[in-house]
Amino acid sequence: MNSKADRFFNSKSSFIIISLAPLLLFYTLFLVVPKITSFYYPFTEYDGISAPVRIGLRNFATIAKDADLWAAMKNNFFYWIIATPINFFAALIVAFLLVKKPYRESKFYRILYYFPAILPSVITALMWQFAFHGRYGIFNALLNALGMNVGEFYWLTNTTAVRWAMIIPMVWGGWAGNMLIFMGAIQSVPASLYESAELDGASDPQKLFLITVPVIWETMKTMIFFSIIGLFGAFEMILIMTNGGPAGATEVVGTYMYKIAFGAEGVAAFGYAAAIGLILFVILSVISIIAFRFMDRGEAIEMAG
Amino acid sequence: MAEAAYKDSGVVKRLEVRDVVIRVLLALWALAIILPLIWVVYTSLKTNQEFFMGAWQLPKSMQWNNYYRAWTQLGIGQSFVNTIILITGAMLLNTFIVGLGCYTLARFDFKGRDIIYWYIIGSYFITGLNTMVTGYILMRKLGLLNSLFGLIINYGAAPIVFNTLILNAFMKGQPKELEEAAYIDGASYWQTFWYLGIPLARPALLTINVFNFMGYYNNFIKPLLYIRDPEKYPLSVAIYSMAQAMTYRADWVTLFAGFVIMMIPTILIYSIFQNQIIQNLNIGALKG
Repeated sequence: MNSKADRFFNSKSSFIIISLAPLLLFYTLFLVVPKITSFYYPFTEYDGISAPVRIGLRNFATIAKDADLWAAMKNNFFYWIIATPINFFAALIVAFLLVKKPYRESKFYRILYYFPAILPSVITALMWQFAFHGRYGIFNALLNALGMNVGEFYWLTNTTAVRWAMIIPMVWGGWAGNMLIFMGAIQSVPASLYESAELDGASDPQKLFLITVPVIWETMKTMIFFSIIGLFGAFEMILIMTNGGPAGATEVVGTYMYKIAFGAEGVAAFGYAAAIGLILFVILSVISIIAFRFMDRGEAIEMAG
Repeated sequence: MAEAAYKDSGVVKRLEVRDVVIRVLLALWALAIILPLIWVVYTSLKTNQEFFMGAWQLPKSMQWNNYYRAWTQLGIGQSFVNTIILITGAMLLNTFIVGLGCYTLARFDFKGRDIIYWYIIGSYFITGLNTMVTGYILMRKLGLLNSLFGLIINYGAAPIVFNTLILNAFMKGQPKELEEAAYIDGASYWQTFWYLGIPLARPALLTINVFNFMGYYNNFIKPLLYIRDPEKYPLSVAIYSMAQAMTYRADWVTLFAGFVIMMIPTILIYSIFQNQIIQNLNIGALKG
């Protein structure tokens, strides 16, 4: 205990330094370095084998003319604009019902409804890929049983249908996280607010939109913020189910970038893929700042603080 | 009075009709979740001939053999072992890193503490796809590609920000008296950390590890990018590559058995740790 080394090891400042070292080291190496270098590689040409060559803004000039990329980005917005409101409002309404109308089965539903959200996305994607199979899938089997005569329609190979079909697994696996958050927020609304509204004869929709929504607005703002951040994020489902096809109908930026950087063609255009990443980052930052200005009317973005 | 009673009953009836509609809609959604899952389960017990007879065709006799084939021939067994090694290693590493670091961040006053805290939390808001490529380049430069060890190291770091948020908040909330008593009794900082800090933080450590488990288990893109050899695949990538290979092998029922096998750990974890999973989304994730 009395050796010099022991005393050093047991001093307060060494404890602080040694205990923080792994955290700072791992964090910096694996989470900060990729973010910093994502501002460097976009200005290079890099195939991953020879050293990266600085090429200035040439990648960005290519991006400006890359029609496939902008089409993919449009698809991201398409899915975001269709799926986000469904995921949001379905979650809000169901959360309100499950909290405020405690039916016997509500408790079971809360657990069941959330289950798809924790299912591995690989499983959700593969399951739906087969569910949409024209001949053997459960989706057509169900529609046919309900009298909608779809025959053997192949949802994932029709360039129009596939865009809409993909929304089903996105919602199936995507809305329940919001539901849980809304349930928590709704439970925190003081019961007295509802009681006085009931005395005034407020209906359930009135209670939801005039009492609950204003009280949980802060939570909703945060959720909107995260949904914007995730705008280009989750592309696994598409990668697995359609790989962006057929004929680019479901191509999103994620799958496009994936193909450019790691595609089977053997051209690993890391510099160009990184440049796309940087553009996305800029777009996301601009949208989130605008969204927050819009929602807050001038208040600073406390989230980012 | 009679009028009031009449009115009341009218209100009750109207509400009942609406309640019935609501309950039917909720039940339909429950069905929409259960039906595809049930379909996967009974398909996994069919023969391939029965598979080709359509989605409603139930198995005439249960083909448990499909599970055996999925485990051995499809290599689910091997990927299951890989997944266990991967997750165990990553959870231990992450708990060590975050547990030790947050203890100091939360329990000690020192110069630069707030800077370190915000340095870590700050990157939460710089997200996007921009690290998919640069993260890969980093892993290659470090020589960590195509190895479970490399993936463990990467996974150990991946949830640092989220876990620091949760653990730091939890550890800050604990009373100082016990620690002070320990120091007076002559305990070193290390002993106090190990015998007091860690046990007291057990609920929060459990919570972050439930989330770690699910994050690691579900992660698909990283192992897809970082692991090349099929015998090193964790379950998520293994099942994906099997599904692709089935285009040529057409042994669908065995693949479906693989789906079910991969769902089982999720179901187990969910039924055991429901409370951690459901509660934490309320407290941790969104208190901005």
